Amino acid sequence: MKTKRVWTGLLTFLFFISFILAGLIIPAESPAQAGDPVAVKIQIPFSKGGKQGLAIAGSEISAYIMVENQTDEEQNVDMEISLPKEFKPVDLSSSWKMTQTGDSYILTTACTLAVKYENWFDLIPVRISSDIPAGEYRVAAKVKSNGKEQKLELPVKLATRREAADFVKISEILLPTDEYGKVDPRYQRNTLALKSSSSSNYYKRVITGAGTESTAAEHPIAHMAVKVANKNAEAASLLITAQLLNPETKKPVAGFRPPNAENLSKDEQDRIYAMVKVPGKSETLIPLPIYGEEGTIPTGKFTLRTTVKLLGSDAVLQVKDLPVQVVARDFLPAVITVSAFVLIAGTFGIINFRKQAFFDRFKTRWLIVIALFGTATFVTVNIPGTILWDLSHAIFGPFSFLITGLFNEIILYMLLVSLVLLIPQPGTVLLATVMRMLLSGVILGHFSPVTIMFYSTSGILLEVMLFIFGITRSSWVSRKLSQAGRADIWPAALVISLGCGLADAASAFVNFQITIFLYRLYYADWYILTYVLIDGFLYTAIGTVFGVLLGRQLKKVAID
Amino acid sequence: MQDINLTVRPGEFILLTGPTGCGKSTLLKLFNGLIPHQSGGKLTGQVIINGIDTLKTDMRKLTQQVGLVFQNPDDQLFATVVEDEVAFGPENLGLPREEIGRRIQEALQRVKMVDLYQAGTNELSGGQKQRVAIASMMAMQPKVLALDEPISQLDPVGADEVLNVIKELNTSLGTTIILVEHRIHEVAHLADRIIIMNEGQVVMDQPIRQALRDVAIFHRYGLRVPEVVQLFADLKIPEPPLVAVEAVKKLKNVFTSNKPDQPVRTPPAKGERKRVGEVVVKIKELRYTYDPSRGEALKGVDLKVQEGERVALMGNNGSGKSTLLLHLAAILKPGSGAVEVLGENIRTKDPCFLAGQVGIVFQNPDLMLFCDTVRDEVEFGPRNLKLSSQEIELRRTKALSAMTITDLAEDSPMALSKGQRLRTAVASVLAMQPRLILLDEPTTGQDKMHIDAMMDFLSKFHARGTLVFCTHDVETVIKYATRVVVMNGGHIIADGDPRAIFSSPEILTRAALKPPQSLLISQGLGLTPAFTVDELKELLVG
Amino acid sequence: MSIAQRMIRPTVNATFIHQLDARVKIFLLLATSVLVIFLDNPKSLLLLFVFVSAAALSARLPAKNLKILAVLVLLAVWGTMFSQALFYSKLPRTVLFVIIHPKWPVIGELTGGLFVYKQGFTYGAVQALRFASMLTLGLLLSWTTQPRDLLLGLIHFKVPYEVSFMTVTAVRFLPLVMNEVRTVLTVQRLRGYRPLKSSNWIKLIRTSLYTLKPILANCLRRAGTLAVSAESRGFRVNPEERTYWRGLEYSYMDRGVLWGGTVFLVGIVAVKVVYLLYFNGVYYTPFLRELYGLAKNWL
Repeated sequence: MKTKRVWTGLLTFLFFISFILAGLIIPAESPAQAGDPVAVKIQIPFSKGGKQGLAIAGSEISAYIMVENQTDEEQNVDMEISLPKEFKPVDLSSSWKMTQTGDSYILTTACTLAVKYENWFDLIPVRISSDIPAGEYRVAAKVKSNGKEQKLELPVKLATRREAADFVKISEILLPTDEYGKVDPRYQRNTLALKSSSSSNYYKRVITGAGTESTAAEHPIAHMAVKVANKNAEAASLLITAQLLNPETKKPVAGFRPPNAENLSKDEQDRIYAMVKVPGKSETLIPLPIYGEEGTIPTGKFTLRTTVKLLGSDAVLQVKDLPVQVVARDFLPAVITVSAFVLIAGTFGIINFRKQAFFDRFKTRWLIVIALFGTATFVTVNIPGTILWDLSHAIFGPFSFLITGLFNEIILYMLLVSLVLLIPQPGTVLLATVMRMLLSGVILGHFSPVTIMFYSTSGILLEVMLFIFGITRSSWVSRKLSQAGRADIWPAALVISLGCGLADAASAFVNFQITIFLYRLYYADWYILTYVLIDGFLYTAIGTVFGVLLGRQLKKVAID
Repeated sequence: MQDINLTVRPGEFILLTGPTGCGKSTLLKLFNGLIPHQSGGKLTGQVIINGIDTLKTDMRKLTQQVGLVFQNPDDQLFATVVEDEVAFGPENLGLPREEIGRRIQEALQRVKMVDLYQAGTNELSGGQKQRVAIASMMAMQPKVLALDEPISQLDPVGADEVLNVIKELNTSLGTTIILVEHRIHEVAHLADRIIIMNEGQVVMDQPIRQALRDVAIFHRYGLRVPEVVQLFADLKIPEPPLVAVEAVKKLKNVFTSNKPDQPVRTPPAKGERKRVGEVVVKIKELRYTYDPSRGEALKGVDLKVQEGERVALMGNNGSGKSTLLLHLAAILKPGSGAVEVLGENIRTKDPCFLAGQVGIVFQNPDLMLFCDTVRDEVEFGPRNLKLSSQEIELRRTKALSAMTITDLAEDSPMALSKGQRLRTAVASVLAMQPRLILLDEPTTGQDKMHIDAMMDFLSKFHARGTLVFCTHDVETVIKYATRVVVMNGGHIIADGDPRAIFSSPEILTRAALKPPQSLLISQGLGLTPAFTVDELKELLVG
Repeated sequence: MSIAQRMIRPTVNATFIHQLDARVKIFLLLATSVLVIFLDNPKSLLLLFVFVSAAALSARLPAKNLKILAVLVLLAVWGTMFSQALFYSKLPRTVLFVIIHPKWPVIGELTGGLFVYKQGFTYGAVQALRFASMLTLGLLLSWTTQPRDLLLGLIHFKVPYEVSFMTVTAVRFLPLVMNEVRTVLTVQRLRGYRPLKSSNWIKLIRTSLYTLKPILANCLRRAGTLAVSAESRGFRVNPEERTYWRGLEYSYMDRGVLWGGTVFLVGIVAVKVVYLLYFNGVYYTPFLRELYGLAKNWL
């Protein structure tokens, strides 16, 4: 993990450095002549790759000037640049002096180059008027060094915005692709599949004290590719950015930020970008990594906004919006659902295989007691539940469990636990649960794989817990439960409460995951946690304690 | 149980009797191998049924030998439909389908339930359920049918149906019948032989007519003999018959010379009885419907009950008597018409509103016991009424001693015997000191002794209070009611003095009531109606 | 008849639905429950619900049953809408109002805020269509089929005999136990205790104890007799060779529905699975592009 991070960081760094170096080393449009004491390079607009590019009306560009000592002597250099009046320098640094004459701006400055190959350069931000015609404008420069003068004249090709946009066009946006921009047809187009939408990381961070402020993801969650066509004869240096927006507000969505966002200006940290040079008369595919922070990215419909700018210019050539869908592929619910299924199938498979041995341990009277307790459970838990649960759900919404749970969980566990005390056998709870399931199937028509899974997981988990905690096998707990006096019963009662509480909490959690997976419903993590703790654990534990009391009294029932 | 030696010949009809806990039920379980095959315990000796040793034979064979029928018809039926219930046994035997079908048909014919083979078991009357239970045993084609108090929870009509079926099986099919019953007077005329058990031993085993010559031995074990037998014993006439018709014939011969037609006591005529005290219950044009498809349960009932009255509500199942009773406790609300209890219209009231004013003892008193100890149970009501602790204690002591359960105060009500549970339930109602007590068929499934004790108390100690109870038992009514209201099909068909009303054979028939033998004899002899043996004796010998 | 009584009682009629074999009905219910899991498209979910409702109407159920059904469906739909309005996590989402502000101390930090989202309501309504269909079909099944037919159907689906025997028993005692519960509550009222009128949960627990105790004691007593009665009729003496009096016979109609349903279900599931394989990047073939489109638009 760590080495990978370093590696990508290094790559990014190299990527940047190479761009900057490229801009400096490749010769300017105005080459120095041999024998001149200083070499002069001017480029307007400045661009990566050093080649003279296109200026666009109404944009801000940079004019680049560089002088370099070619001799062994000290050179005192005076520079004068004249820009057409449509090219207005802005934010000029104090070393420059500017005068306006007729139809041009004259900028002057001076510098001293002491040794050979010493150089001086500057970038002058220039604002180009927006309402000027396209065509060729000329920029002139005079450089005097130690009395020797050089004159340069540079044609600047100016295009209107519309023209420029015609030259450079996004022909296609591909999503998702591999890191080389190649589309894999197996994937749904325009869809980003997140590996996990679970925000469990949030709590992990809270617990480990890492703070709730999330750090950016370390590697891309997917890639996209932008296909750009350049019709112009010359190459175009472009800045391509992409960002995910809320389709309604058009505001950026938190969570999609590249790891190296610090390199961008504050208001641009929410987008991914690439700087590229597209050769003239060609089409280039530019792959872009998409970064996302696990846990903070919501799923749903978004707008992917891809913007193309000329590098060194703030002129936006093209904005292309693409509706994309972000889907979560959260594996936890799926994994839990599948495991629950395997567990259930396995348990019932084994029981079916050893059917006779399983049932032989139960006297007929016990079977009938379990059946009648099933009836009692159905009458006191399921029937009121069907009506009350829905009703209170309609009023209190998802928090109705706080109220209905009091009834349902507590009464249910009173019944189950008293039954287990009467028939402390492995299998009692499972049979009682199967009873409840079949009754609600036969009487209320609740036959569905999901209800079967709900009931079965709860029955199996409880059965396992009761066995582990020593209630359905011979242990001090079971002995205490059957023999201890009223004052003596508490330790054993607490053990069984803990067992039942854990079992029900676990099955409540599993039920949520099954619902999320099979019924595509959303629940906040804290909600699931509250439910599991209160309805699953607390209420169950309370019901269990009363179940112990009830069970011990029922043992006294005189059979006549 | 010890030292039981018993031989039963094929085709016999044996009446097995004895006080509660004498070992009758255990004996029955021995017959079809449930003991020792399905339950624990220690068994020595041999049980041989049809030449098969139950110890050495597997259950499957044994179940086909002896069929068992129990007291509570509800507790023997599993299926929701009659036909399934009867099929259950043959299915377990693994019989082919055609055979099962044949057996269902035959068994249902035997119990006269063929028409109802598709009926829901929950919709049957008690007698019908019990007949289905018998049919389901007969479908196993047992040689012996053992029945454990099969009529104790039935109304007279249902009991008659069941007894007729049993007799029919015995005579036409030759099935050996072992009938466990402590109400000898109800069944004595059907049996050939009587076995009395006490404390796990057989204390008497004789042909029934022979046995009944010695009434004393029955009394020793707290058993009642048929009224005719008692009458003949009291009159010292030998060879007692078992049914009223025979008795009338015999008595006619004995008493022709006497002057029997001297009324001992003139029962007060209907409506003459003084009604004092304020009106406790006032019902006007009461109508009620449970389920529109089944019609009205009450079709316009008018009734007034005054303080101090003890009113018996009688009538067959579905006559509306229970429905009426439930209105008095505000458990049901009138469909139309008005019900006023203790001056309050119950339409808008919760039963809780009547707490402390109206007490009800349900048919199954077990449902009334939910506290940890008998003491808590009795104090529960008074506590809810927020009485002072002295008052609570006073009431508890009084109620417990009235029901003779003071020594059980710290026991769990659930651990008590059936009779004790009934008394605890009644005590819990008495402790509220209600002005109106309602009893819903308290005589069902209870020993006569318990009923008498309870009714005795209620009529003595609750004399100023008002009592309304549903029952089928004419004797109880004669003994304790000051007034009887007979219902039929949702109407009141008779209302007045019990003696006057029971003297009308027509009303008795319409209400599906079983007249006591004394009444039949007195009517057969053309005497003033007598309702008990003592009265009849008085009429006959003065 | 109380609502509870009406809910557990099947109706008798001669409609198409009533006459279908119990196994076919169980199959249809299971098939539908699988279908609702596989379907995602609101149009299809709605279509399914409309279809199920039409089936319910064709069974000529009593008006009161339909009323219960309608109320239950509406409550279930609203309940789902409610919870999804709070927990909807897709974008875009519009906050209608704030329940817990994320900046509130402790609770805000723990929950990360709780809002009511407009889109959650619609999403919940669509998802609730699954529940609505299942609920309607479930009640339709239980209201048009005798429990014993359903149980017979279950035996054909290889439910162990002991279990189906227990279920028969449990069903048989349902009305009795319901009556008993009612009686126990009445007894409590007549002794001056208001069992259900309380917001105090300790008291509600006490009520549950007071109510369960007599009911369960009764169950225990009853079980003794029932066991003897069952055993004396040969219950469990040879479970392997047990025979059945009533068989279920498929009519032509049953077979038709069964085959039709199977083909339909398998078809839908297959298309969806193929689509999901494509969607999740497991398998793709250009041959099936039409199918992918169909699945995307309808499933």
